[in-house]
Amino acid sequence: MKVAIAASGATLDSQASPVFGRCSHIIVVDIVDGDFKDVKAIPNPSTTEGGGAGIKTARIVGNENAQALISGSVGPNAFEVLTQLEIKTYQMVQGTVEENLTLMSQGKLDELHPTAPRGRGLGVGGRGGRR
Amino acid sequence: MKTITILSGKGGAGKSTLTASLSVMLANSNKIVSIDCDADAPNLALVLGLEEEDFDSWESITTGEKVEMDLEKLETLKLRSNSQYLKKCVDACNFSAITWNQEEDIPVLNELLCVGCGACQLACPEIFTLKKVENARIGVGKTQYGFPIVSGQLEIGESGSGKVVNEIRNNAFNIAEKIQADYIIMDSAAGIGCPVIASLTGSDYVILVTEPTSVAFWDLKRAIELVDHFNIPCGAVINRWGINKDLTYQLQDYFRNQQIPLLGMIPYDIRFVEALVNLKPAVVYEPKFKPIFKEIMDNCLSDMNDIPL
Amino acid sequence: MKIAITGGKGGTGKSTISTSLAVELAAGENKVLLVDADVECPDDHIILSTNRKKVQDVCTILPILNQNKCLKCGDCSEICKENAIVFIKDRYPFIVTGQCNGCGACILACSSKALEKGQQEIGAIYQGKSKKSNQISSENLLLIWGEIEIGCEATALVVNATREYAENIASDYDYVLIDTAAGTHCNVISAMIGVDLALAVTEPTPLGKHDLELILQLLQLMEVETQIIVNKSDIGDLNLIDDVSRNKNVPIIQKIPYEREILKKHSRGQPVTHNNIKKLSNAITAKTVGGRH
Repeated sequence: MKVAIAASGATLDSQASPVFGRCSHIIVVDIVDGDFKDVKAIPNPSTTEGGGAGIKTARIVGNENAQALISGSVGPNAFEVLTQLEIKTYQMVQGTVEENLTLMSQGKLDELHPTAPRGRGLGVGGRGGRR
Repeated sequence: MKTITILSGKGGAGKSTLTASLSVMLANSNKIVSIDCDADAPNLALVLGLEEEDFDSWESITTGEKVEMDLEKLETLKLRSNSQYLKKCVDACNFSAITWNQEEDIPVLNELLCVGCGACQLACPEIFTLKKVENARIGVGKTQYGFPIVSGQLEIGESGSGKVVNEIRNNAFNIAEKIQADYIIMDSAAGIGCPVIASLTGSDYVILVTEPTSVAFWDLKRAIELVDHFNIPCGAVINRWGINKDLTYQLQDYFRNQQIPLLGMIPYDIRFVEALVNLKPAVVYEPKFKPIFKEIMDNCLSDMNDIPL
Repeated sequence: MKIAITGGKGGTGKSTISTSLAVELAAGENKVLLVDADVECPDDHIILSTNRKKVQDVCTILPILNQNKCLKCGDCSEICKENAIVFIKDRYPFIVTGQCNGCGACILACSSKALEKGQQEIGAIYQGKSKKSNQISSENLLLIWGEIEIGCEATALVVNATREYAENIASDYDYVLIDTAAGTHCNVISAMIGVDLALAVTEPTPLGKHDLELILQLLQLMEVETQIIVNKSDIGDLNLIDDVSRNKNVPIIQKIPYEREILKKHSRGQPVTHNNIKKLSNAITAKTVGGRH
């Protein structure tokens, strides 16, 4: 499976990026039987651009024909693009790109869902601030 | 590195006062960068004692374009009595920036309303050209409290404050990365429009500031809807709680019902105004205020750290 | 006569003064149309406790793709300044509604006419009459305001629609008061198009001064006659505003002190009555201000 991950650098030992639209690189990997093949790091030009950064970054992921994305928070517009492109988004954990990819290959990352209305307990990593 | 954004909906609720004091308190034991994302009417630097000339640098930026109308070509087209054709640009502009002058039989451009979308150029390419404009300046400075500040100023009459806010934020993020900051504290604009939406993008936590007035309450509800739209965790601060106790209780109830943690309450005190006049953060001007802001800071940090990544 | 109430900084008292002035003018047997053009956070209907009747939806263009006509050329995505159209080679482009500002450039750019004009709702216009008839002679005062959809960025479009709605009924009124948002950008500019007079409300603090200077620059650029109102005039340092008034040659027409009674009414969301607002109203009706046009 082809997986893209938002990263803070260009290598597998870089940290996974908690931000999507303004992450430094998108790293694309083909996960075959738990091995990482065809590792490709694409610098994200959107880090220095104005509006719609998330949308442009989602487009990069789409252009690479990735089937899944690992990232931290994804804004509503970028999410719309990913959904349209039928790319599933998974919640990253703090750590390196490699660690996240390993968890991904083991099926241990949670899938992210679009913004859920408050108080309904849906969505991951959103409403945690409210008790 | 975490980004905390201060938001209120209603203007004058105390965003800059809170941002400045919170920045000073946080900077005691953390590396921080403070950002003013109210490019329309930036005030945070002033509250932190920095006037425009005290900044280390100001850089002009271009985030958008505006259209220019070629009056000579317009005249030629008018002579060829091409008004049918010329009216196309009026129809093309969805921002009321081009209107039709009946007497002169020509389109008139109001540059102030132009957003640079280029629709008129597609309709009448002969007379319109898009050109880049320097629509804002970004300033970087160091406060006397030891942390950097990034501020922006939209040029008068220019548009695109959302995009300008993006630039200000990017600039601040770069500085924050360089100094390996723990926190970025962002003061947002009033309202819930494009500059505010731009400041929310990439925020980890939002502090909603309100005051016990019925108008601020109404605006707060709209601000909460916006924060929910972006699914960002938030906490609240009630400012000037002494001016209306009944409404203060109502606000407390409201926050409880909405499951929004109340991070702290700031009393109504004329010394806050005195602090502003003296260009000093409240906690510096009146050390007695420190416990109030410390409570807000501690509650904010512990609430933020409870959030699963 | 059309008067804008603005000021740059938020919370200086624009809405307080707009509503009070509207009530004073209406009490003096003038027909008053109050337009709340702060469409992100419209507050005047709270202060005047009016009813809330929707009179018009505000819509803008939303391009809709007809896949049968689409050549997958990507021109629409290329032309879009907002990056609201995503095009990936050999796929149909699609529109990110939340990012689209409704400019319609993509529709004009599409050579195969595959994009059609659809609509997206971005807000609504409301009108209200005061429910407390003892406070205001409600016959003489009508409030209209715009409200933008939460999360929508097209503030200026909702302001434009609100202003245009007001312009269509303005001839029935002696005075049109326009209460603007804080700030100096497009939504404030749109609100002030075509006004005869602007009242810049400020407070005597360095922040009030700083933002007053910005709004005065804008008003100068827009060539609008302007007067300054100093609210909360007895706190802070009045010299700050006196300096701006002198340097920019814009007179201070009225000062309103920071009184407990005003604060109380403000917190409860009630229109403020004050002798100085009555004086301001009298000055306007006597045409001693705003006479340049």
